[in-house]
Amino acid sequence: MNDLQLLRDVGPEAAPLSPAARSAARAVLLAGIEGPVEPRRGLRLGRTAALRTGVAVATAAAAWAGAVAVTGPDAGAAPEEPGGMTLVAVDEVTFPLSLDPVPAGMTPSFSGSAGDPEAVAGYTHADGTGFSIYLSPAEPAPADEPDLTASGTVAVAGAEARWTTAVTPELCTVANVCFDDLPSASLTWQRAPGQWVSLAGDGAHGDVAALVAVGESLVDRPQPINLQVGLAPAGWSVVDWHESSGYVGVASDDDPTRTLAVQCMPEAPAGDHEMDNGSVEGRIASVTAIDPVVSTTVGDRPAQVVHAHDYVDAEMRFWMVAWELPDGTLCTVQTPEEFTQDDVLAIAEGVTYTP
Amino acid sequence: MTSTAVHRSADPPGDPPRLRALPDSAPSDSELVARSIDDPAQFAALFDRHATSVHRYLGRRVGELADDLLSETFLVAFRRRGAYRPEHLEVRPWLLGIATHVVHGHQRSERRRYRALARAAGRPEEHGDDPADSGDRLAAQALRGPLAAALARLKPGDRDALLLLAWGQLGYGEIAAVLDVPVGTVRSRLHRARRQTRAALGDVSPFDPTSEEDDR
Repeated sequence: MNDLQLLRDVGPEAAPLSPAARSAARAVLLAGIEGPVEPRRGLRLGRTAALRTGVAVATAAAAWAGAVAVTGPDAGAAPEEPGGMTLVAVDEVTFPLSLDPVPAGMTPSFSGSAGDPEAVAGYTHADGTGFSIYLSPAEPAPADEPDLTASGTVAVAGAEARWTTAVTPELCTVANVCFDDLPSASLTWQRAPGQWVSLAGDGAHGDVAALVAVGESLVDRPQPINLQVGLAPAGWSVVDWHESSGYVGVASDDDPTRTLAVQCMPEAPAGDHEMDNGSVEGRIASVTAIDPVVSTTVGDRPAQVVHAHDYVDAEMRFWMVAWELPDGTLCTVQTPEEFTQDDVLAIAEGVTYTP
Repeated sequence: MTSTAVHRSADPPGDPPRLRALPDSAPSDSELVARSIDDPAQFAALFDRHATSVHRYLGRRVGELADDLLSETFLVAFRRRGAYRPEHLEVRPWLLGIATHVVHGHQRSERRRYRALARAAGRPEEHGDDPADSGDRLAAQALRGPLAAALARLKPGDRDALLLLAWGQLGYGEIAAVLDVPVGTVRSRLHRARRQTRAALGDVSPFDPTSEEDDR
């Protein structure tokens, strides 16, 4: 055996690409495809800057707080359509902490998965900089930061926290988009028994004082994530959410390979990170229709629903409904084929998006 | 802004395009890229063909973050499709090159992952009852930690070259093209990365004295 074979055989492995993650990534790509081609520097590249603050780490680990607040129409009701399935209210997904005061001009996003004790929230300015809040039940290992400029300890709400500062080198992507050198900082402390907090910030939040202020504004008040699925089939649960991709995944408790995906992609503000998030018609036209597209409404907004199959695998059949919110956010719900059209539309009616 | 290109090949000019033929007269990858210039929806088929392998490459480097970086990789590829040159590079290495550049934005996460894996490898695993493969498993277990630690310590450019070779299974010319460096630079990066990896494994190394040139 040589070292290359060794890397292949016993090197770090990857978790398989789950159907839900594949569907979400494909939906993001389709949203990119549907928009105008030039000029478009996009959503994801803008998000890269945000991820540099540590939100990326967040995606790998986040929290589920199973609050019992109910969203969606007829909360608690269980509408059952002839030939359809029983739909029940879905527990609201929350992040366990809030910021008081709420930082002005910053957009929060949350990532996580059900049952995971870790939690992450990212707060991003329009320019892509910001900070992330990473919660973990155990002390996170100190970062081995090669670009470290200083480190030390400081008090945060009476607790001793360790801090680091660094300078993020300029980064350029293959799309010829470059990010300038940015100051960055991190702050880690035990906020409560079994609750460690790590803050990572850059740009305006790339210094210790700014992060200490964030840390001292944390309060024990669960806040709902932006995108909520109000109704789902009985026996199905929200399993993960990646709001940076505008995505929430729901799966059957009995067969986790059976999934439905809800996605809401907001229109980015005009500027460096502008990206058209597409249209209802474009989103529906991007799938291969089996039956004619049906025009309908979701929440009194024009919508289209279609029974379709995968672009490559014609055996992979599904329903997709797309509608646009008044602020330009484009939402979709994609379900397995065995759902009825009424089921799909009822689930769509239960989706709420409040960034 | 700094220009970075992934399509310049360091291979000698005149190499014939290596276009992959697909069964049943399905369009080749290169044809799909070309068609997507006028019909952008065609690009989705490239996702369907390559998402799994690109995700696996990303996942080995950045763990669960791969779920997010997968769409970013394909979005960047979609936006850069007009610059794709099939005579220089096949689509799969082109995508893996873009994935590599996307990972650059998350080097801290990548290093953190390797270090976490190195620490985790030091803890005993839970095993099943079958003793048949216990020897191999223990041998592999002994290697995982030092290997992950070695990856964490490599220079980013050296690590890119090594992992594109080992996990992406790209050739030297392809690595040079996607990293936008001469082939000689790829060779020196690989030499350094492999030497450091072997040194890090020390006594647990199971290496045969295999020539690096025969390893691809």
